[in-house]
Amino acid sequence: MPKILRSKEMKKCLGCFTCMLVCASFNQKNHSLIKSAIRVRTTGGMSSNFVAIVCLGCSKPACMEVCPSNALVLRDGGGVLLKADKCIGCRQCEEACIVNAVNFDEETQTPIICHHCGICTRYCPHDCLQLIDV
Amino acid sequence: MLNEKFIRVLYIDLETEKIRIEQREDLLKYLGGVGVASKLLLENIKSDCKPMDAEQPIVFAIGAGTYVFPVLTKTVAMFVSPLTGELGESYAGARMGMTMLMAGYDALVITGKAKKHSYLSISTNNVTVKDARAIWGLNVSEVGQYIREKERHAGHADGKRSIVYIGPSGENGVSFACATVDTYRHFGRMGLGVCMGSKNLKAISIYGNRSIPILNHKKYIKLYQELYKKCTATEYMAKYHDAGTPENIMPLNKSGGLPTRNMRSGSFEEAGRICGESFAQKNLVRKMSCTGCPVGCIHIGMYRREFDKGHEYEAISVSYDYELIFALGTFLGVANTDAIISLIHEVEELGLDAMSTGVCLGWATEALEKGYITEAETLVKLRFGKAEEYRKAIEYLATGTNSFYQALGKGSRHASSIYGGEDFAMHVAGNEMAGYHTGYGSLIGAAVGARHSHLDNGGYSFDQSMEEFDEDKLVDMIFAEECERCMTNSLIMCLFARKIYDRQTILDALDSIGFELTNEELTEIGRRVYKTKLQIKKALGFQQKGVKLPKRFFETPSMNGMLDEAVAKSMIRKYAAKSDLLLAENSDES
Amino acid sequence: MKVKFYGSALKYTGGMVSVNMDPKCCPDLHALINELAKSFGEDFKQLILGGETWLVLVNAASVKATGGLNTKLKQGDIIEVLPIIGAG
Repeated sequence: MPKILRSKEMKKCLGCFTCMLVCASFNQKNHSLIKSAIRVRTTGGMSSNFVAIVCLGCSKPACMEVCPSNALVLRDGGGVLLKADKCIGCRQCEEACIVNAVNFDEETQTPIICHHCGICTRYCPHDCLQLIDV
Repeated sequence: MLNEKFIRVLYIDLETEKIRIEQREDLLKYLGGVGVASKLLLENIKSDCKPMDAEQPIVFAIGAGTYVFPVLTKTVAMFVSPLTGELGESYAGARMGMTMLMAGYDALVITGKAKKHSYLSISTNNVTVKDARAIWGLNVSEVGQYIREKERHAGHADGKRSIVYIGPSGENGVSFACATVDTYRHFGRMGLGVCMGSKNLKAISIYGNRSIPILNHKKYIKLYQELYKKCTATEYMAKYHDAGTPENIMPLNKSGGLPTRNMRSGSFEEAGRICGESFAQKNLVRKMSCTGCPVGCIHIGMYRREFDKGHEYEAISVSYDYELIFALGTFLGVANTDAIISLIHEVEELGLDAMSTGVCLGWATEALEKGYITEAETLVKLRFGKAEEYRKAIEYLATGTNSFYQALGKGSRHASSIYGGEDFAMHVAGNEMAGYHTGYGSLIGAAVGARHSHLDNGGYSFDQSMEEFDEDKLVDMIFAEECERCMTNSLIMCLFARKIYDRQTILDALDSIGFELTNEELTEIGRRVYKTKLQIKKALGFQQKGVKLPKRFFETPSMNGMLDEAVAKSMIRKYAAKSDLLLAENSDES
Repeated sequence: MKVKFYGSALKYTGGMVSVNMDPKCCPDLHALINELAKSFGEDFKQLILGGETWLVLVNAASVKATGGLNTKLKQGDIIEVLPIIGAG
């Protein structure tokens, strides 16, 4: 069954950033937060709530629509997959995403696209993230 | 630096606003963290200058494995402590370690005094001294808000920013002013806040956005998974997440090691009302972590404060831990969780060390009661259990309202040397005591520990685990643990994870990130770092065997019974002899 | 005899704050731990007997002074099991 990432329990978020660390480590072979697809931030300082900016796996992805070079293809279950060799780094997908989920990688000049692998859900110590069947 | 064969040091001169960066291969043998910081501090202190002279450095350093492994979360700050006049060493978690790594610096060495009120902005590609005129004088929570607005990098920071800031106490010369990190964590003790204040440095903002490719992906991932599992699936760390460190209240109380009412007693009859369970049930609203730690030991407690008639309420939230409940609770006879939270809040906003504040106020309360001082000095009638008066006193302390509070702001050792009552000023070598009166372990541990803290060598642990008291054995155990922690504080491991990071685990973890060491080398590093700290203390005029302990430590029974001053002196002498041997050792220092 | 549990000990007892025990079954502390392990499991036993040092008080006195696990128990005793004191 194809799956989609959700962040339904962010009120429990500890701010540990393990989700970002493992996303970057497992998917991009990098220690740095800048390589993570999922991003967690506060809404205004540490005393405010944490929010997770995650790809919602649209069935009609706006990012795919605006891509001029067909570098984003529809993923089974929703969202997109990146064909990096076709990407020209125009950043229109980043602009088009309604929930700001496209993280542009300055180093590779390509977007970091969540492919709903669920590694973040497996390493969240407080069950804030879910991988749901669609 | 992670994946590099050098330690990357950023030197900042606040007066000239010039920086220089050095890639120090010679510092690799100090591993990182407190090892690197100690060497840098030793190199840069001016032993003929006073603690707060502009010349004196403030050093920050991250560890060899900071952030990339679970619970290696801390940054160390080392400086010349205005409170004790000698080595200042303090640790904080939150985001600072991660952001320093992301910005690309292993260590910061800050010298000089900024020409006007300033804050430092450090990012991957820039270091600037910025105007802080409008935020000077502001409370801690306000400062964070403004700097977050000003330090917006590339749209929004996305969690890649950390801010260290001081409150009014650090600006007003209180010797135990702290430096707060990202709202809920602190470089609490020994006066880092006032060192920053004396340099006209209100805050340091660090933003990092480097790419850091993993060196040995397979090895690293395997080890990360194992460590993550150990930290979350086993019982080791569970209690830190559950009710948290306040869980210590009941065991300490029951065993008679809980310092109460200026340590007149080792147990508090009201402990049940302010134990971990009580706070959890009445006030706990949230748990948080330092970045890189899945445990979530930060406990946020809230209470509703009625600030005016007509049902006017505000929500006061603070992070609470055992030491704060001891210092602002049992030590002052305050038996109400809301009241303790309100005192913590006052201390937080003004940027004070909670522990030294509580212990100083405990002395002041008894000194007032016994007539060493009068209300002309204290301005309010300090009485054990009266939280509202303590709240006002905290304000007077932070602002130095009169000469008494200015003196008290230099610590209980200083204040009692002027007003009397030295026998019940509960400090150890100038640093106010921690919340453990468990036996010779905790007492001697604090006396000989590098920063006079229970965390230097965990003496209070030995008081619990030792079957029978053996003076020589305990001295050896304290010394060995002190060296061991010098090594783990170079990683920098949060001490809560000390059972997880055994020697083999440390070796495996370091190996997976390209740091190949042997078990013997880890031991050597511990000793090398401790020796460096002893050199700093010696240069600053500190003598271990000269430590005098306030009489009350020998008048109130500890968890292990009444302590004997002669035994304490003997242990300190024996320990000092070991330190002298280490200092005299010929080793491979450059 | 009454056995009381505090703090993280409650996790092993399923939240049970105290339990009454028949002194006949447990002449000393070691026997008591074994008996309690029948209800609370081997993990509970291991916690006290090995690994983490837990504080056990009998009538408000630490068992360290009364022979540790060999501490004799009798009718009317109050035994308290407390978590190790860590830092914080």
